[in-house]
Amino acid sequence: MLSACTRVFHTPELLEAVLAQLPRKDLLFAQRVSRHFQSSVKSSPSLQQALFFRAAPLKDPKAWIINPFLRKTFLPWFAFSRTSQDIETIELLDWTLDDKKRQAFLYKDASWRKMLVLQPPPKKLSIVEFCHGQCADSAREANISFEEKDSQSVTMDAVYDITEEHICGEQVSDFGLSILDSETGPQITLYLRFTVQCCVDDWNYFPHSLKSQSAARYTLQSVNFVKMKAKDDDSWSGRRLDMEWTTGLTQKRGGVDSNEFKKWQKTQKRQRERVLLS
Amino acid sequence: MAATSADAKKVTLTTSDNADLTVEREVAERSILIKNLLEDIGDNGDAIPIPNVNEAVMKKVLEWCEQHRKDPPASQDDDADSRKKSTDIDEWDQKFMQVDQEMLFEIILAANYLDIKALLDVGCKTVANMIKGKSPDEIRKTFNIQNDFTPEEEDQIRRENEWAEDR
Repeated sequence: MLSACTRVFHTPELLEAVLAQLPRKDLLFAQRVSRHFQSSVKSSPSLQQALFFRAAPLKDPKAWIINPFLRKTFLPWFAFSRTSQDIETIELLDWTLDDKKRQAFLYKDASWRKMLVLQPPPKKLSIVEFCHGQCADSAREANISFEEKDSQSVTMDAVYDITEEHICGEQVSDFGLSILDSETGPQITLYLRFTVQCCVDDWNYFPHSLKSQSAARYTLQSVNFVKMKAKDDDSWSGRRLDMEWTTGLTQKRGGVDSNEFKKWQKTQKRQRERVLLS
Repeated sequence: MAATSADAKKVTLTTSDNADLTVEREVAERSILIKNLLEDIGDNGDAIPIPNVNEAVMKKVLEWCEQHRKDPPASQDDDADSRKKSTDIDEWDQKFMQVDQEMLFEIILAANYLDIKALLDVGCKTVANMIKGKSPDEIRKTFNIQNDFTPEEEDQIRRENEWAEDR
């Protein structure tokens, strides 16, 4: 007779019931235990939802939360106060200084890439890019639909890849993520801003690439941008734009307030100084 | 029906190893399986066979049912976010679950078979607490689980989630 333990773990609904009691992080790592564990996590809709790999049903359009895995790793994206999220911010991310961590992060099949940014998730990612030119400002926008993708909803790979290319490609640039309520659920927009530089040096901020090794990486080029038009005019020419945006992200929904963001910046800077000194 | 006399009514359960256990009906009815059986066949005083649970486990399960006899019926809480409350097991239940590993899993199997949702939850939480914070290797050791991945497969899964590891 098999042990009771083996019988429990070999009964799919019981193994699922045990795994359902685990904190998310333990659940993510439990997949490594055995094939049984792995297939239980992979085949259970509720466990997949808990891990942000599968969309949870939308019950109340205003009841959404930020993915806690991503919040920790990609903290600047979830800051809702308008502190500047620029290249120096990216440099402060945990994994950028340590080569081993960087490799783990940029690994082509790293699971964060397939994770939903929020739950329940929106089905499309809007992108708005503001350009602060010498004579005039301009803006363009795009939508990436995820309905044809496995996730059917916005995943972090698109948000990261596009931000990374924007930030590392322009010397004076920043970004911000906006999540707004709507009757059909949360709407997510990635805002990118940059200022045209007249004298461009060889712009190479980082000694290492921050691009994901995934072959399915999102690029700015693959995004179908459309020039944004002013409502009362056909062109933006000669105009200065209001390049601000709003977000419905709050602390309660998993957003990062300015205090937390400043604290995070300080801690990360101190950590870097320690690494550089040692 | 005469509520007072019905409440005190006893039922006899025959376990897989042929032991007869007599308990109050209210206690036994914490098990939805037994409750439905009693409703279906009517309480004619015959012993109810419980062929999947032995005496030792049944006694333990009935001890839990006795303690929780007055609990309100389980609410249908299918929200995925009930996971956050995973660690809170009430004190009595924690003590109750301090049994050897084989008994713990026997209780889970019995709770599942007898359809006692609250007991099943406590059992699953207890096991989850034993998994929490452990490495895959430690989990395998704890429960005597064989690693049936090839080294390549395991490495692939490890690398997929390595970004989320703490150092």
